[in-house]
Formats: sequence, C-alpha cells, structure tokens
Amino acid sequence: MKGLNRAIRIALVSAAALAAPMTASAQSVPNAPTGPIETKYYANGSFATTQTRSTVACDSKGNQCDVFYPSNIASSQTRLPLVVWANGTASTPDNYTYWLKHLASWGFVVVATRDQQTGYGNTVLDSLAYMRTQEANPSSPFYHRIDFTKVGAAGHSQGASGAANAMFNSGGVITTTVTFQLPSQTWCNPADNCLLTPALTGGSGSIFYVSGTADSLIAPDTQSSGTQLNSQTAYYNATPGTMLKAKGLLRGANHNDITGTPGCGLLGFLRSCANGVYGYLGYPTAWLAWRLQGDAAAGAAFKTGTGEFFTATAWTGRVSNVP
Amino acid sequence: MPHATVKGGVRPTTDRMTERGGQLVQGTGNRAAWLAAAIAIAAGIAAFVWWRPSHEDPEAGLVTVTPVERPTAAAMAPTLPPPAASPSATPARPAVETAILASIADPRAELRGVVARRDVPHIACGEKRTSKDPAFRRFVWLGHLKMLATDDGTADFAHIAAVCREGQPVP
Repeated sequence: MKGLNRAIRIALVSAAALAAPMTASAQSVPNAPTGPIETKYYANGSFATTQTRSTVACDSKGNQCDVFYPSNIASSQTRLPLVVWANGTASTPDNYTYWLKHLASWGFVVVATRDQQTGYGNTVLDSLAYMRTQEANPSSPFYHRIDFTKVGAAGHSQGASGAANAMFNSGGVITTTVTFQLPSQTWCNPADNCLLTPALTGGSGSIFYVSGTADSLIAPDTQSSGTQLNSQTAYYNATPGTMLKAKGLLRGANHNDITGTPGCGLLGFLRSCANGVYGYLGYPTAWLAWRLQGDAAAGAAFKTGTGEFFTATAWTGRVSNVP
Repeated sequence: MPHATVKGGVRPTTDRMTERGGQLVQGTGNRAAWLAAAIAIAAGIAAFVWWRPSHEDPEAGLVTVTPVERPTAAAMAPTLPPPAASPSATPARPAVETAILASIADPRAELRGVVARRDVPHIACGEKRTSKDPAFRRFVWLGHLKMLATDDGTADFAHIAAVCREGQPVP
C-alpha cells in the first residue's frame, strides 16, 4: 500500500511537471521581432497551406518528396516561386514542418526530398527536376503554376551544405540560398559531403548564412585558425564579393531550433532545440521574399550597416554586402 | 481539394495553417502558471532523487569515461572448449561504433580507442581512419545529432574536443 501511494504521488507530480511548463511556454516567445520587416515576415502569410507527398520516388535515391504550397494554387493568377529544401543529417521534412508551412503561407511552393543525407545536393536537384515534371503534367496541381525563373534553396545543417551545393550545381537555375547552421568543415563526413571551398569561391547567386549563438560547437560565428572554413564568418568571407551575401546569428539559438513547432517542447533539450523556430521566421523569409518575390523593402532590411537587420535585437554577428 | 491524385503525382495530406499572423503570442507572464510549474518541477526533482537507487557519485570535476570495449569471451566458461566459430561470425560491435561507422559510409573505415562520456553516453571520442585518409585522427561524435568532427590540427578542434570531458555542456 505504501508503495502504491508512493507511485501515485510520483505520477501526480510528473503529470503536473509536464503540464504546467507547457502552459507557461506557450505564452513566451524567444527572439521576438522588433522592426517592421522582421515583424511582417515573422507572422504567417495570408495563404492557407496544403502539404502533399509524391506518390512515387522523386529523387535518385528512391525517396519521396513532400510539397508545401498555398491551398489556392489552382486559382492563382500568377506562377509561384519555388524553394527546394534540404534536410539535416538523418532528418526528414517532418522535422521542419512549421518552418516549411510558414514559407508556403507566404506564397512559395516548397519541395523537400525525404532524403536524410542531402549534403552533396544531388537529391535536392532531383527534387527540382521532379517539380518540373509536375509543372508540365496537366493532371498535377502544379501544372503551369511554378515560375522556374524564381527558384531558391534552403537547408539545415548537412542540408545547408546540400542547399548551397544544389545552387552552385544548378547551372544558374537556383539563384539564392538560405543556410541554417551550416557546419564547420571539420564536421564533414565523408569529407566531400560538404560545402567545399572551391565550390563556394567559384560560385554565383546570393546567400544568407544563418546560425545561432548557442551552436558554437558546430556552426560558430568565428574560428581561431586554420585554412578550413570552420565558422560562419569564414564561409561569408570566402563567398565571392560578386554574390549578394549576408550573415547573422540568432541569440541563444541552438543547432536544432529550426525544428521548433514553433517551440521545442518539454524535451527539446534532448535534441538541441532551445528556443524554437520563432526567431528564424522573420529575416530568412524576408530574404527569400526579396530575392524570389521582388519585395524591395525586404531587401532594404539587409542593406549593409544601416538596414533594419542590423538593429534587430534578436540578432548578432551581422554583416552583409547588400548595397 | 481542387485536384485529384495522379499517378506519379502528389497525394494531398490536407494540412492547413492558420491564415493570419499574430498567433505567436507574445509573453505576458502568467504568474500562477509559472508558480505551479516551479512547484511541480521542484517536487518532481525531489521525487526523482528520493526514488532512484543509491549509488556513489563520482567526485565533482573528476573525468570519468566508460571505455566502449568489444565483448570478450575470456571470462566465460574457461573450462569448456570454445564453440566452433562460423566462418561468417564477427565480433559484436558496440552500438556507438556502429553508428559512427555508418555516418562515415566507408567500408574500410576503422576506429580505435573509442570512449563514451559516462554522463552523456551519446557523446563519444576516439580515433578513426578512412580509405581516403589512412592516418588515425582524433574525432568527436555527437550521437544525438549524428555528427562527427575530425581533428584538423586547429585550436578549433581542441575546443570541440572539450565536449569529451564529463560535465561539459552538451550541445
């Protein structure tokens, strides 16, 4: 009987410990936006969204693709820009649904292979090719609905390498990339499953490097020494000046905060999720809206030294060459 | 849905998102909820400490790592003749080494001296070599992220390798 009472007490305490913090966490938002552009794109866009999965393999490894898009795409009067997404190591799009739906709510079609090893970028390009077949298929919801002159890439961790590699190997089709937590080259395994220096230094397009200050082991802002690109600053500096480029770190963000839904939940710390996706919603979306939808005001936020991005309280380590 | 499923096409899974922004509610500080949370957490910690079996904790700050050794049959039934080994039989490999080798994706990769942090078993450190890089080099393995860092001789790797020490913050 004593053991039973003890078990009941522990169960009640555990239930209370689980429930109470969840109530509290829903009322606090880390890295809230401050400026008008960040605030605009931090909120969800005006489109309801739909998520689909390809019924056949969409890449050369046999993976299916998930597609996120505005629900009213069939009645859209204009073709929509496309974003190709690359997952981090051993991850699928299931880990990024909040972020991917957020993009779709702003009028992007987002295709994400379910490949869990995207570093080379080849399966990302496969997903792009798959969307071309869909765009040409009269039976597809994407028939004549995608603007292939407006294609961007984004990815997380190993997928950040994959997104950048996809851009540099796309023959100019992919024109911009947002990298989340691009790992230092010392984390590349195999060594070429990575954004390699020659690919970067010979590349074209535009790129926005995004990391977090709590991810100092994998995607730190600066490095001590060495010729490898082992920091966001090193990647930024190695990016040709002919490319539009920017870099920033979200305060307190850990490696997997982009996976928030939007928060990390009670056990988020077990997967390196500290603050959730909140702070990542604003400027990364604004960057894509600028480069793929022509929002000049969003672009002005990145103007070197004086743009809104440089006064946002949630960000640090900021630099850009945007005129 | 306005469209039908097509062969080789897409299958809607109907997931709709709130159209309007602003559903990300700015914190207003519900004191009662926070107080309840604090009490519940404190009670939970007390219950956990009381509940778990007693054992001697390591000295604070002491570096204690648990070697990840291959199982040995040396202590098993020494008077009996060993069973005839199947030609295809191989020694069992610790799970952490299997995971590390899987991440390297090189059938000729080798590991040695692999030790896992006792307080965080999914973090392991040791040496590895691959077919492309035959010298043994130190590595750090973050199992929860499935990421492997290789020693490039810089102070930056030394910074990463500090995570091998017990008690260091876990990324």
